[in-house]
Amino acid sequence: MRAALLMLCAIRLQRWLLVIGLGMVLIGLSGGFVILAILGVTLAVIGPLVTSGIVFRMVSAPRPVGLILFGRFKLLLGQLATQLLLAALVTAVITAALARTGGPHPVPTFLAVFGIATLAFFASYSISHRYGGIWWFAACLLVPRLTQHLSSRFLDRPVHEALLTPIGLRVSALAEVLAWVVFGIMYLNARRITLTSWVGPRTADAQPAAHFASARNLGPYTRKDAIRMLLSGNNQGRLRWSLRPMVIVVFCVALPALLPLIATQGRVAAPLVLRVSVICAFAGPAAAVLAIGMMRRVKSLWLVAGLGRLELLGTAERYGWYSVAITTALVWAVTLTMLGAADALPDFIRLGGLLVLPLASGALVLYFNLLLVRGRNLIDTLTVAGVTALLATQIICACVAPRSPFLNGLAAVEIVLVPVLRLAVVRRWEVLDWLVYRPPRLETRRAR
Amino acid sequence: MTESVVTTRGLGKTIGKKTILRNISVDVDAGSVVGIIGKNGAGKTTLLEILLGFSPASNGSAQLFGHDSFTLPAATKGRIGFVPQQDELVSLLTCRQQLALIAALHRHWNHALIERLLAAWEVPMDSLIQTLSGGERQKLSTLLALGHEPELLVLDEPVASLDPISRRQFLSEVIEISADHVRTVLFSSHIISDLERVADQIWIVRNGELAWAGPLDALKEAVVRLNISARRLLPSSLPLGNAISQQISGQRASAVVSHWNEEQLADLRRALDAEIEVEPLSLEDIFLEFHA
Repeated sequence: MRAALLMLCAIRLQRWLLVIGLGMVLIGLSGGFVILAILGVTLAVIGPLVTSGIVFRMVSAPRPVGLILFGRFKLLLGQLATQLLLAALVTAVITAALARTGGPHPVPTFLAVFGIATLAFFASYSISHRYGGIWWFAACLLVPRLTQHLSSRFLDRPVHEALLTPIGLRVSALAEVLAWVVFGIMYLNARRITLTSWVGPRTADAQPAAHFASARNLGPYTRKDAIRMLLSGNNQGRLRWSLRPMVIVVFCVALPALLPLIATQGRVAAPLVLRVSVICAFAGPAAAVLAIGMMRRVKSLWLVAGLGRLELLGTAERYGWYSVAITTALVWAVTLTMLGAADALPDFIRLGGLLVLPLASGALVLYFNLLLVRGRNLIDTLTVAGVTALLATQIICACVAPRSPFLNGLAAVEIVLVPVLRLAVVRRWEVLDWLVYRPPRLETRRAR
Repeated sequence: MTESVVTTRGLGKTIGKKTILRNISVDVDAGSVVGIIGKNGAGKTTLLEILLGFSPASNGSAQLFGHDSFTLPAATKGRIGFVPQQDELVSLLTCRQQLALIAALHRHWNHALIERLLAAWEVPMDSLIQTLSGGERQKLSTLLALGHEPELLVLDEPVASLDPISRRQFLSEVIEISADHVRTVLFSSHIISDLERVADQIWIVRNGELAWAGPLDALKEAVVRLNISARRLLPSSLPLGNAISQQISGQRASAVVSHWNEEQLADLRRALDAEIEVEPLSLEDIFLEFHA
C-alpha cells in the first residue's frame, strides 16, 4: 500500500493535482456539473497515468532494492494496486456522473480504463529506456488500426462493440491479466533495471588513434561549439548529428501515418487529415521535450562558461527554438508531401492552422520546460494544469475531430500564451535559485 | 595586504519555511586551505552553492574576490574551479571530448598539468563518460576544475568515491596547489583525517550555523578533554564556562571544553581541589564532541 501511495503522490506537484482534481470531482458530483467532475478526475489521474512507468523505473533502479526481501515483488504489487485504484476512481466518477443519463455499465468501463492505464504504464516504463517509448507510441497508433481491420474481416461488428459482449469482456480481462503476468515475470527476472539516457549511441564512434596521441590535441572546438555541445549533451559537433534527434522524432511520429499510405500507393485519402493532424499535434511537444536535458546541464555552464543567468536562458532558448523549428520544418515537408501526393490539401485556413500547430505547441512546451516548474506554489501548479489540459485537448482533438476548426483555435491560444509564458520564464531566470529549482536528473550513473 | 577571497556577513538561507543557514560571517584570505565539516544536511553544500552564486542569500551577503556572489562577473568566474558533489559530466561524451570542451571555454589551460594528472590518476581518456565508475567520474570532474589553474578551488566532497591510493594522490595535489600560498582551496569532506592532513582552517557547520571557523591549530588548542580526579565528591555540574560535554562520577569527571586556555587550569584546580589532566583531541574527536 505504501508503494501504491508513492506512485500516486511521488512528487508535490502530483499531490497538488490530485487534491485539486478530487476537489473538482466532489464539486462536480454534488452540484451536478458532469464536465467539471470528468475534468477533475482527468487532472487527478493524469500525473500517475503519464509518469507511473518512469517513477516505477526510478524506484526500481537503485541497487538497495535488490537487498530488500521481495523488494521488487512489493513494488510490482504496489504498482498494480495503483493501476487498480486509478481505474476504480475513474470508473466510480464516470458511473456517478453519467448515472442520470443511464451511463455506462461499471464493469466494461473499469476494464477499459484499466486497459488504458496499463498501456500508459507500459508506455511510460519503456519510454524511460532509450527508444522504447517511440516504438510503443508507433504500436499504439498501429494496433487500433490493425484490430479494426481484423475485426471487420473476422467479426461481424466493430471491435469496440465486440469487446462489450460477455465474451469480449472476458477476453479483454484475460488480456490485461496476461499482460501484467508477462510484465511481472520479465520485471522480476531482469538482471538490472536502469534509467538511461533517451538519445544517443551506447559506444563512442571510432576515432583515429593519432588524434588522441596527446592530451594537448584536445580537439578543434570553439567556445560556441563547446557551449552548444555541453548544453545539448550531443556527442558530435557536426550539424547532421545535432539534427538526428529531431529527424527521429518526426520519423517515428510520421511512420504510422506513412505506412498505410505507402501500402495503398496513396489511394487512402479519407483518414489522411487525421494522420496529418496527429503528426502536427505530437511532433512539436515531442521535439520540445528533448529540451529537458538542457535544463539539467545549464547550471554547469554558470561558472565554466562565465555566462550570466539571462545569457544562459538565451542560449537554452536558442537551442530549444532550433529543435522546434527544425522539427516543424520536417513536419511541414512530410505533411505537405502526404497531402499533396493524395491531392487532399484542405482549405488554406485549416491547412495554416495545422501547420502552425507544431510550432506553437513546441514553443509552448519549450517555455514550459524553461519555467522549471517544481509545484512549489499555486501559480506553478495552475500552469502545469493549464498546459497539460491544453496539450491533452490538442491531442484528443487531433485524434477525434481532425477536421474541426477547434484545432485552429487551440493553435491561436498557444500563440497568445507563448509570449506570456516567456515573460514568466525571464522573470524567474533573472533571480533563478538553483537550490530551489534543482536541475532534473534523468539518468543514473552506470557502473562499469 | 592579502586579498580576501571569500567574505560573508550575516549570511542566511531560508527555503520555504526551512532555515538552512543562519548568520554565517567568515573571511578567507588568499592561500588558505579551508576544510568544511558537518553532518549530512548541516548546510555545507548550501553554503558552497551560495558562495558560488548558484543561489541568492536570504539574509546578509556573500562575496568572492570582492564581487557579490549572485552576480559574479565572467572574469571572476574564470578565477574559480568547482567540483560539485554530483558531477555535471555529459554522459555521451568521451573523457577527452569533455576535457576539450571545457578547455575551449577557458583562456588559459595548463595542458602539461592535465597530462601529468591523467597519467597519474589513470583516467580512461577514450571511454564514454557513461561507462566510467563513480571514482573515475570524480577524478575527471577534478581535472576539469584544475585545468585552468583557478585561484579559488571549491571542492564539495571530492574524495567520497575515490580509493585510498587515489585519495592520497588527490590530497598531495591539493597540498601542491596550496603550496604557493596564492591559491585558495575550500574543501568539504566527511573524511576528517584527510582534512586534518591538508587544511589550515576549519569550519564546523552545525544545524546551519558555524560552530567553529578558524585555524586548525587554534581549534586543537582550544578544544580539549579535561580528565579530573578530585579529593572529594565533585558537584553535579562542573564550573566550566565553555563545556561541550561533561561526565561526572563521584570524585572523577571528564569534560570537553572549547575556548580553553592554560590560565583557566590553575583556577579550576583550586576551585575543584583536583588533579586535572589536559588531553588534546584529534579533529575527528572534536567533530564528534561538537555533534554529541
